[in-house]
Amino acid sequence: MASAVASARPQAGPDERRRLTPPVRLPSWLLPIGSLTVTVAVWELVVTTGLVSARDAPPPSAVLAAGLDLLQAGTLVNDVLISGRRALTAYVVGSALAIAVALFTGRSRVVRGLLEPTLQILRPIPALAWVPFSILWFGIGEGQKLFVIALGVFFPVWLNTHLGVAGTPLRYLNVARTLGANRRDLFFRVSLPAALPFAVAGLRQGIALAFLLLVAAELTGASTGLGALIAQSHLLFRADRMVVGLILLGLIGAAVDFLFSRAARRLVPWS
Amino acid sequence: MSRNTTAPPPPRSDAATPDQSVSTEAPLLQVRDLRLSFQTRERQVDAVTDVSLDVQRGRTLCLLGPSGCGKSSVLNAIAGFLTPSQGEVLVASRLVDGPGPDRGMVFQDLALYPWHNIQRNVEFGLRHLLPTRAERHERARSWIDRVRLTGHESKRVNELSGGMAQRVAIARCLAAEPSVVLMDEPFAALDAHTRINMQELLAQLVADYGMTVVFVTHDIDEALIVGDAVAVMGGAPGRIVESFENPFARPRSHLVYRQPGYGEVKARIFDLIGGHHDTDRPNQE
Repeated sequence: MASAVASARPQAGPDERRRLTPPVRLPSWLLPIGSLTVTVAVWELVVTTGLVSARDAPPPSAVLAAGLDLLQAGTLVNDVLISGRRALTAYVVGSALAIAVALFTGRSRVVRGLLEPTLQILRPIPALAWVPFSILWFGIGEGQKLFVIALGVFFPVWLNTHLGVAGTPLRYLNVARTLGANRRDLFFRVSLPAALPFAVAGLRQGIALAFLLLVAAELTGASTGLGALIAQSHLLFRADRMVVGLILLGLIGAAVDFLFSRAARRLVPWS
Repeated sequence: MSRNTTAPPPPRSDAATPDQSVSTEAPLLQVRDLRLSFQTRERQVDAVTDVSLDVQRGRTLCLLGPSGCGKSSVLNAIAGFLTPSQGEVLVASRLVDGPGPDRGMVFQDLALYPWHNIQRNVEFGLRHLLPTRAERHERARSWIDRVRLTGHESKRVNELSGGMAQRVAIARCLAAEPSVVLMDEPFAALDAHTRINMQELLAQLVADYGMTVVFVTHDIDEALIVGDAVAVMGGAPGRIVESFENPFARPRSHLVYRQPGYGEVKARIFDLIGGHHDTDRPNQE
């Protein structure tokens, strides 16, 4: 009996061999944390061994020190908050305006005829190209930065929402008509929800643009914000501080995108 | 286009009307000399000509014909989505002028709202009918129950099977209590088994609630299960070839084919439809 069990052991595997994943389950956080650790370690190693000069690429240890330094001085938190406020304000203004306009251009043929040609010509202009012009209008200040960011956010949000509203499937509208819907119902209870997935796609593109334009606006003529931190550190040859700014932008961008996609899944679970 | 619509030969062209002895009431739905035409670059083309139909309250009329014969166009004119080029549609003696909640419609592609769950889909048409949320909720519940979907209220549209989605569409339409129910090949996309279930569910609802229905189909068996009367349509331009009372009385199940004479009736309808792939008149003996 005992020997039978013993001899069966090594062969326990017709099951085992068929398994595609390793029998030991890795915790889901292990791979991401592991890869980040390895990246940082390789980076540190490449610099400390002298493969790359520390002046061009400050090692993680130096970046961390610079970050703590800025944190203690109180400027880092301030820069993050100011950048965040700029981006958020402009984002909300730009996308709210875009959705409002899109509801009209998408639903009314007259409004579309009036506004669409202008919007379609303005839309392909890269928002970056507006930076010098915005300075002419607003001078260098908060208004100018908000303008450029909001303008950049406006177009993708408008276009997507517009297409969503205008493209409301006719059958959705027809069913509603046989169910007693009036014009208000057709707009708010059919076109609006039907356009929501499109608006969300536009809002997501808007986030990426808001980040891009935030930094572009802050690099030229700002004394606060993450873009300004990078620009000033550049003048002072402080590559370590520049990297602090870059990494923070990366972390914040990834976090915002993650939160947005989770929120989107709750907002439009059917798409 | 040659208008070869001189006196079509239906032996009883107004046979969709039930025995006058049964009801002296005016038909709930009347279609009078309906013509639907559309303008191409060069000329006006008739899609449907000379269609007249009467449907009494509580009865089901099947519009049966091959695809492209204009039967869906007739239904859309009744719904108010198409404006007659000539003739008129009356519901309860009132002229139809655009879509309205007195004519509920179940579309072939259903058009359930994916942003709502089942409960909210069925509630959609109740907004202007029932003042309070609680009443709307209650009405929707009872119709969800009648189409046997209780327990699935919070399911999303994309979680439903074809038959379940069909039931939701029917419940959404009926919950709003239209006087006439229009159905545009609603079961065409279902598998055979589900289709039979749906036909019998519909037959039961029609009987239980005295529904007045115009049902479009290209399936002869379906027409003979669902319809109290059948109007056979032919194409180019679309018109009624023949109308007759369903010789098989209610209650009809899918087993109606077992009744004596079923084969001959089906064959005769088949000839009517088949003959109209050409422009020839059928059955001219």
